[in-house]
Amino acid sequence: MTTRIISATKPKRRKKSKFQLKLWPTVRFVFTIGFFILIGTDIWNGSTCVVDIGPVQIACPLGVAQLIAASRKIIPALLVGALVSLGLIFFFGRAFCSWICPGRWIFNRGPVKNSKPWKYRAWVQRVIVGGVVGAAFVCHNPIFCTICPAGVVCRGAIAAGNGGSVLPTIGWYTMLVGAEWATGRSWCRDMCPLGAAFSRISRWNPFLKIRRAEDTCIPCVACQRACPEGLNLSKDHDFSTCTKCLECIVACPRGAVDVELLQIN
Amino acid sequence: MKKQPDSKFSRREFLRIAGGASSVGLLYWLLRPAQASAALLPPGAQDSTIFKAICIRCGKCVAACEQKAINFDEAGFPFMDALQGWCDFSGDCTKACPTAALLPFNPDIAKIGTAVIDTDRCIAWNLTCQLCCGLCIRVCDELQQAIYRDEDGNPHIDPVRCNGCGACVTICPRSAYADGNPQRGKAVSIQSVNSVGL
Repeated sequence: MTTRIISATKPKRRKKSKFQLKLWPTVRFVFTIGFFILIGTDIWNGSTCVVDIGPVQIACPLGVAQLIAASRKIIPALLVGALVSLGLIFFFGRAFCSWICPGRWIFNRGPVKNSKPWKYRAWVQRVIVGGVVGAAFVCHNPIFCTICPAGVVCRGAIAAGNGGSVLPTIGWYTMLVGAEWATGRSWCRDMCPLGAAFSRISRWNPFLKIRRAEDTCIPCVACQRACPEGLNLSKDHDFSTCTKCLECIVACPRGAVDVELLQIN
Repeated sequence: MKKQPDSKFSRREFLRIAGGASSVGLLYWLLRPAQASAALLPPGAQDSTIFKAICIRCGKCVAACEQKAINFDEAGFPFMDALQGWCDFSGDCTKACPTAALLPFNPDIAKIGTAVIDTDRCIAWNLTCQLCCGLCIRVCDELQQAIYRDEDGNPHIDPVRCNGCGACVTICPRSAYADGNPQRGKAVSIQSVNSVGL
């Protein structure tokens, strides 16, 4: 009964939220595909590991950390590139995970079970990242790069553009999907070291934050069901794991999701 | 209330375990120990242990190579794939490399490996005519002059002159996929310098 009372006092639902666009998933998909076409046809020489944009080199921070751990050497240009990508995470949060990483379209589709982030999630993420870097240190080899979903597809795209084979890409993805299936957990949310590292860093991201409209939002679970990270706009306070996929905007029946360009507490 | 069958092992459980086992098996297959013959590294690479520690596997060298001579192995490391193209020692890969995995080299003395002719497969070795085939000789004459015919017309390789560019492998007309093994089909292959003993 309470919901009925609340809805009676709330204003009528808005037709649209500020950034309402039913096509957000399509836009993201086109963005991802376009990125890999640019990579595969050598218009951009690079990959998600290292890419040149003009004079700036952007490097994967986890890859650089592993590289330093594995080779015990510091390469200044790559370190600068890693700092640049940390800056990008500061501005865009985990947007990489849903706008560029193709794993988003393969793992983690649809509503997920157990989507309530568990209590010690931050520590689990720190352990995953530390374990990956430690494994690189022990093995003298950036091990995680072998199965990195983004890097594997980049290599597949470059190989396809240069007459090579895409079979390793398919093989690694089969393995990751198998792991996801076997553990019953989502790769992107619970297992991916890249996502873990990015969500640890994106705590400091104040830009482009999703926010519920207090006046129209009836606390429900529509956004939580749609969110691959299992975030609930009306319950959660920490949106550092948000990948800015904008699925909640599409899913919200009342148009109560806004995107705040700059959020300062 | 309908009684649930109290089987300890549900179908879901079984599928989950089977999926886990198969993914572990696939992981082992993909990470299995490398074959005895060491993969040929691009020119400018240091020894294979250092290379594997410092290569970030970004694929820039693969994309930068105009001859398409570099390819990915299963773990994503680049190696010289003479079946696709041959190395012209232009140094494009070393310029593209963002890490120190590929260092600048001197094209006059750089050496990837040494070509070795499989006399069982070579057309010129198996025919008695003096001027059969010889495509590798023709292409090598423009590059290193490392392949020569003996008096019977059989090609031989001078291991000192050969720098392992792989042009002879690329042009060798023997099928690349004989016996289902792309490395063995061609009559000439590049062996890494260490395994030959130079």
